[in-house]
Amino acid sequence: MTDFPLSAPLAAAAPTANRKRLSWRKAFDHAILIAGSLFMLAPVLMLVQMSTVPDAQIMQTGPSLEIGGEFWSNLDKAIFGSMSFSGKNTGLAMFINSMILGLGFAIGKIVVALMAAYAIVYFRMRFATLAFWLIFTTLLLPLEVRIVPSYEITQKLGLLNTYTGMILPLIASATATFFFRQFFLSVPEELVEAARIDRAGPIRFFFDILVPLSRTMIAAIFIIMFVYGWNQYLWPTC
Amino acid sequence: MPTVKRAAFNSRWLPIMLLLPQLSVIFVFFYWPAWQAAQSSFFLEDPFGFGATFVGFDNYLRLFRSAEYMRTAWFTLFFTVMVTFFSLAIALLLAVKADAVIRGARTYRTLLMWVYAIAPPVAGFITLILFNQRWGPLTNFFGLFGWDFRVGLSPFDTGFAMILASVWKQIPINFIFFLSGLQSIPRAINEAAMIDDRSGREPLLAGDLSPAGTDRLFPPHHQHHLCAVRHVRDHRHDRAQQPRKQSGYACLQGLCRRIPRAGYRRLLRAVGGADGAGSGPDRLPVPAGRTAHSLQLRTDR
Repeated sequence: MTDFPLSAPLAAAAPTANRKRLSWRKAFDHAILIAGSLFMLAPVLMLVQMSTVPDAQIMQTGPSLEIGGEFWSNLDKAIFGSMSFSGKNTGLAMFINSMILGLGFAIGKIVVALMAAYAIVYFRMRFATLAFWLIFTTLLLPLEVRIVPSYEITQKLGLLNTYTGMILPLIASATATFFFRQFFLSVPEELVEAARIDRAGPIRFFFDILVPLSRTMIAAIFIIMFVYGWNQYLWPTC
Repeated sequence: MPTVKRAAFNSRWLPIMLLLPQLSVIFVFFYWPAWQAAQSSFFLEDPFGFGATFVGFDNYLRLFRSAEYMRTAWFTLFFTVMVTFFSLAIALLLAVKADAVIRGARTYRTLLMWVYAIAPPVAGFITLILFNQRWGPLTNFFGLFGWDFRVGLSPFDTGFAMILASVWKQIPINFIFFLSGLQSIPRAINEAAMIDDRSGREPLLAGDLSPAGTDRLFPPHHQHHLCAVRHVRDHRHDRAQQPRKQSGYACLQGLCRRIPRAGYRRLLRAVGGADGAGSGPDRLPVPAGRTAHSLQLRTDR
């Protein structure tokens, strides 16, 4: 953030009598932040410590402060070891599956949502409001509620055991469309006016002005959606 | 706010083509299964799949008369309220402090956001370890105070552990939203609030909370609003030599009220300065006394 030019004279004019109280406050701020960081980090560090000792020891004594030498062999077991009969179901395979699901879901959802939001906001259409509400109602019923019929339909379409069948039903929700619609509405009207005066068509306006403008928005939604897809456990296990 | 741009395009087929993928996915994977789910809620399914009998609202009546279901539903409500309250409160406190300190600010931010990358089942696994009956660190810790912690046996202890784990998992997301909201508050507003009250309490309650709060609800809309605020701030620049006594919130309100008068032309100019496209001769001149930098739209959020 750029500094407001006012800050320089103000800082110079500020009385110095409060310096001592201010430094106490700083120490207090840091104490709170350190406590918060410890609260957030300690459980994760505990998990890392547990991964360095043999599992028999964990079963006996639980987490401790001792750093063992088993980290790499434990990691190897977790990534390449398999507990299934076929031996194909390793940690690495699951990791790749999660990656495909997360990326496919995030990218697919953003592309579909960008197009839909653009159509709703920037075109004069007869059924724009109806389309918006049709999309918006999907927020009411999450996938968990309609999971049995969703599975049935995926099976009818022959999409079981495919990545498409895993990704497509997850895309059917409106969060991203709604976010993009809100963002497009806040983009200044003059941009589309200027573009039309310069005879830019709708497609050119979309790719040359709107998409570059919403880059940060796309990045933020990508992260949220990717984590959402990565953390899906219920639907893919169906 | 209008729901369609004034200068909208008039193409007939393009919007339909644009809407088609979203609508077809929604119809196949949302409306169809949702309709089937609603329909089947009025039928009693044969356990071996040999047909179904229509039972009207019996399924619903049984659900709402079941004491167990009502207990579960009430606990869900209680759980949600507790997690929301504590995760918002702690995240707000940490965000305000992380915004206030200068030394080590980046480190704190990274450490506090880190847990966002941890999957919920892993958080549950960590909780089970922490509250293990035999050697769980937190079980031992509470044991020091004479609290015999029993996850899975005592309802209160189990609820406590669940809420603790969910709050832990929720804090980073709230922290990120709060911090981005706080950081986009112009320094001038903080300073105005500090002139009023040096204790640091009021800026949090009056000046900081309102924009950060809207940011949590509506990040995208808020960006526009902040962009305008920032702009009017520059506009106000010459008058600021004699700062008036105003609380942070009043100051923000005053700025917002000036937006329509400052005009959207200025906003447009700010956008032109952001993507570097307006560097040609058609670029609007930057008013004297203002740096080009201060007119740029922040895109790093």
